[in-house]
Amino acid sequence: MRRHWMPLIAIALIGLAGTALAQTYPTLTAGAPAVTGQVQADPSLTLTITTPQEIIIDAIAADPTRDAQLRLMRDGSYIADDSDSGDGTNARLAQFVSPGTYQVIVYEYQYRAMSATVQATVAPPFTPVATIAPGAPPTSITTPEGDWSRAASVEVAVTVATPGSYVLTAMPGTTPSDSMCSPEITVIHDMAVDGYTISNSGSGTPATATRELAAGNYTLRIRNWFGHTCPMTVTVAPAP
Amino acid sequence: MNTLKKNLSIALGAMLVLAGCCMGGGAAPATTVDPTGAAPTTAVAAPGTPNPTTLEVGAPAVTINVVESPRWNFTVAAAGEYQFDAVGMPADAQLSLLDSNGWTVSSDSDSGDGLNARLAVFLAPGTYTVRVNEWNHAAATVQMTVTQPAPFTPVATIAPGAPPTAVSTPSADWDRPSSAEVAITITAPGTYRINAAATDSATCTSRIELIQNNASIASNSYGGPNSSAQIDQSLTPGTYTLRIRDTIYRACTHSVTIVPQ
Repeated sequence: MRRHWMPLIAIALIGLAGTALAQTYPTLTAGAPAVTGQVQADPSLTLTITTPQEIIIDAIAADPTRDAQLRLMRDGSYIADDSDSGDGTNARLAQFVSPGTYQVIVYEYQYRAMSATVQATVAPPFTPVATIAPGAPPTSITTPEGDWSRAASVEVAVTVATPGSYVLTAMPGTTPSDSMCSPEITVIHDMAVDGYTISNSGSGTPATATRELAAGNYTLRIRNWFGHTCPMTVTVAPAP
Repeated sequence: MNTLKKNLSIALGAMLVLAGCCMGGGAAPATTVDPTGAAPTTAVAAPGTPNPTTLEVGAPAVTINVVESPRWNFTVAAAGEYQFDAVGMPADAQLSLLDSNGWTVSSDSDSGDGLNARLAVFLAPGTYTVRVNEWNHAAATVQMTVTQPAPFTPVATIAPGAPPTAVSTPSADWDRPSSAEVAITITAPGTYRINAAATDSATCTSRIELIQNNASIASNSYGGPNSSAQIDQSLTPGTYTLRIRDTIYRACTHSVTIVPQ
């Protein structure tokens, strides 16, 4: 008999604990004079970059019920941010950065108190899955399943011998399941992103754009915007 | 008795573990391994420890503490429209209103003067949380007030089935002063189609909100033909109010109809 009551007592205590531990705040009253709130600045970490590189910044909340957010600024201007690209709801962003001084701002999604660790690492280089010569036939690649942009990407190497205009195209496969592919191409040159990411106007359609390329080595980072595995063909063709 | 005390102790222990788990207290640090190379681990900074100011590529992770933004409890005893003002100038105050479950009821960035935040919303009785933060994540002093705005005087009364009524709404810098209200009297229960179409649809876009007994029943923009605002609503006999404005607060004229379905 006594044992039957124990779970109920435990549940009651847990319920009371929830009530007792619920957050209470000062009260606002309609029509009353203004009350003052002091907003504390969110942590801003200065990051000094001396050489062009791709970095990964992670913000991991110590308490998994907290949702770490990242914002990368440069001289007060917005560069990038991320909410949940890390494990769970942690924040992670990969960014090509040129020499300069950056600010990494860390905050909590609902502006709650949070303890978090923040780390910047050099992004490990990709091993190109193919090398494409301008004018060559389409090259088949497959993007992997990934839960954030970098993990869902592959890279192909492109060597440009003659500077000029080139049409870069990533074409999704032709099977019905490939209709959910939304290719994206990021052109990388000298450890920097060259222009805007090339994307398409809808699932199942190619990502294509004409770019001016100088002689030299380029890398095309390609992914399916949805982060799912996707077969594609990639071409780099001299513009007509 | 000893068994009871022991069992209570176990129950209390379980309670504390669960409370810690779910309410942010005493959670064990987690370790995360990044498949692409980054392998930070978590740690908890002691409260009050100054945050580091620099981050170095390739260096061990740093631990930071984020402070909770200011928030207040606001209890609504009687349903009505309430206006919240967060004045933070020159800082850019942001304002959020959360319900008792922590869901956002409404939020605003710049509807007040300058960069200040302001919102007016119909609230049912209950307890809400008002939260402010700063757009640029900077420190700020925010003055917070709540008022009950003066009710509108209806500019017209529209009967179901009447010809279209032209309602002019003024230009303003946020939603409430750019609105006008009309009264609607329903005598027969049924479903009614309420439509507001901007007479200059190339420039203006109507938005409507149906109100009764100090509560918002429904709102719409773009739901009708040619981007007009339209609500199909089952209504019981009584007096209703329709609040009308342009979606982005321009001076506009709207053709309003209420048609029994």
